[in-house]
Amino acid sequence: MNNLGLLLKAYMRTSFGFNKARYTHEKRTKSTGMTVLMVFCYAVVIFAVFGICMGLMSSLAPLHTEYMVLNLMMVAASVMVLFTTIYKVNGTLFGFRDYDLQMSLPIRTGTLIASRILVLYILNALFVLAVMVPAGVAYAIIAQPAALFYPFFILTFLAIPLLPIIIATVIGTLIAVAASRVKRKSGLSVVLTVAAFMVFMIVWMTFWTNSGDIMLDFADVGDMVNGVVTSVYPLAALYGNAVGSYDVLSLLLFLLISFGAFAVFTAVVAKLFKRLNTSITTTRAAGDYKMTELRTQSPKKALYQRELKRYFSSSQYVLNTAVGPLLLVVVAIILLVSGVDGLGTYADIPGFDYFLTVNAPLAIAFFLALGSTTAVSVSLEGKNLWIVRSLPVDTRLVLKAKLNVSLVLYIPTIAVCGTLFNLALSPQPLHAVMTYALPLAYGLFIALFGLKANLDSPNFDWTNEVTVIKQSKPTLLTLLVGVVLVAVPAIFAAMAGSFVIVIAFAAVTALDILLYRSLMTKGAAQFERF
Amino acid sequence: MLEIKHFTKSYKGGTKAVDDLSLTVEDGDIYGFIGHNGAGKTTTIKAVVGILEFDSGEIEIDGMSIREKPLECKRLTAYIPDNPDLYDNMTGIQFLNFIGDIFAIPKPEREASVKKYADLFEITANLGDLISSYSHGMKQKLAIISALIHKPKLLVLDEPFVGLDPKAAHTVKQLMHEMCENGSAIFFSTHVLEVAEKLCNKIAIIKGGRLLRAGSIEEVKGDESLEDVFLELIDE
Repeated sequence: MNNLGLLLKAYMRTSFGFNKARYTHEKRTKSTGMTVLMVFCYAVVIFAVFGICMGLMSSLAPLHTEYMVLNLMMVAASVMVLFTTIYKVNGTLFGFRDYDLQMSLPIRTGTLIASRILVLYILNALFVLAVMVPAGVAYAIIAQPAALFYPFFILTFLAIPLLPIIIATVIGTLIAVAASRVKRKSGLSVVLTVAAFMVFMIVWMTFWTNSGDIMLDFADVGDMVNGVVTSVYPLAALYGNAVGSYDVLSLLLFLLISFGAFAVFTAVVAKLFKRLNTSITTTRAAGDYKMTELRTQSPKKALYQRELKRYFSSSQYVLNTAVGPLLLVVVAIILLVSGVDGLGTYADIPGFDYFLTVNAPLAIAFFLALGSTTAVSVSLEGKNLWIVRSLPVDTRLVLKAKLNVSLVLYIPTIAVCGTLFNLALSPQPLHAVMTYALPLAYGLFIALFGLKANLDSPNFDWTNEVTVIKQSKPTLLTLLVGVVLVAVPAIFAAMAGSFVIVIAFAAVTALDILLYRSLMTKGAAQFERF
Repeated sequence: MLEIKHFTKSYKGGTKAVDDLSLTVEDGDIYGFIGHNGAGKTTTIKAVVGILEFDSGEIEIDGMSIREKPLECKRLTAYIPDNPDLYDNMTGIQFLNFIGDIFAIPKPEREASVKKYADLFEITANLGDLISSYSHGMKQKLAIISALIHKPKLLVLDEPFVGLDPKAAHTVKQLMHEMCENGSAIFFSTHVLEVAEKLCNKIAIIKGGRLLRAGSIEEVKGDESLEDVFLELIDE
């Protein structure tokens, strides 16, 4: 095997737990469970995209403009690649943990860079695959295109991730380099990353508030949407012409721009690789400390501070878990400022006002379920686990400190957004109370369940914390369980009315009590066995 | 101070990492624990400090079982692992203060201890920097300071001299003697036989999880050098 193959193999072995699953017998069952869960989530996304595409393309079929859905999906996949890659760049292409080791080996720097870029490409190609393949299948069924469509579709498919990767790498690198120049680099990185996310979300939410029109009657607004999409991302126009009209010139231009830009990008990265890695990984040490008065606090508070410091030390950790609360704040502000009308044409649906008022507590709970700090808090102890395990502290205090980080994130969000929702919707008194109480019960559940999931499936041997934060079983499981737990009462509430919310509150509170008791006994014992 | 009785630890798959190990560390002892890589030293040390469960036997610190009274035992103990992975996101002083909070060290005593040991190891100026910027040796020094500031009765160290510069290694040896003169006990693993021979008053040699020999340095090595005895024992 050549060096590129060897480097890719090493990455796969160390990053996805394949090696651990193979050589650690006791982990085999857990890793199989993880694989099943990931395949399930991936399949759900594929089927969902397929369903949406079938629906949208059917409404465009009479006009023979189904290709516009492919355009839309191509842009959606590109946006997804762009957004997820920004946070992968530092840790995959730059600032990765085994940089020193790999650079010391007799391997050409170009090969090392190629392996890292390929990793980024493969990870993103999997995203694109989940969106474009079901879209392509739906197109083949509805539009029944000529044979030329298939080679054009496959060729363009390979090029879709390239340009978003380049843009994301530039943004991600700028954030990492800017952050490395200050003492509290993790703090600045958190701020810049969250700021980039908020800009992205505001743009996205603006689009979303108008998406009701698109869903209700895509045939009428298809042209408008296509116009917006192609003006925002000009490559989409070339893509549409290539796969929709089999225009060879558009195909060649699309491929030339994508692969050409990628070639330039690779050359630039090769030139700056060492310099950027040095700049990002070099830590600033002032070396000018003078002893001052020390502030003392209780062990309980010290453990809580330790958790908070860990939380805010990682932009990936903050972003992945604060995404729900941040989105919720944006939605709540839109709702208050524009009223129900601010939600675009959804507001025109008969009974939508009532539906939203009844489900407001569940809507808040849904956003909280999008990320759990506790689901990775045990794994993130990593190689530092020995410290807390060898100290004379009650394990229950350690677990409570982890729970408190979640609550500190949730409680102010619930207080602020609950108030904004109540002001916008003016619900009945019981409902107004439930707008705070139900999300609180759900927030507690997400925190407790996340912690339990992580205690059941910890991973302390990570080399890049992103693998734990984004790709671990506890994260996916907590997200899945949280969303299902919101969706089930939401369906019943839509049919049976608002008393379902009260029942859901009682049921989730009961679950909270059971989970809390279990964590403080069995969970603490589990932690002591690691 | 430390009594290990018939300690046995097996890993999944049935491999015995340590088999029926017994030894006693008295107050004032500097007890060296030597053996090959993979002999069972770190396993024993981790069980002693309460971070590893074990199958059978008993480990007592100051007469208390580490299984039954882990918090009480840990309050008397300080542990420094072979590779001190500390909290990279904290500054050195924040880490020491965190340890001070956990052990509830009174403020004046805490400030005096931190200053004393940080000056001794010459890292006072670096205490305001993030631990992620520290070299291996600086992390080792910080871990040692964090172990000393709460005045442990039992200090457990796993390969404490790896990564330390000669001056810091000398300082550690001096501090170990000082602690033992004040009635504390030290139990540490090492590969460096010369250090063990000069520093310890008692030694245990372990091979393949079984204790080959233990006792005072004179009893263990007799008229030979410790290196000769060690090589003889592990080649048997």
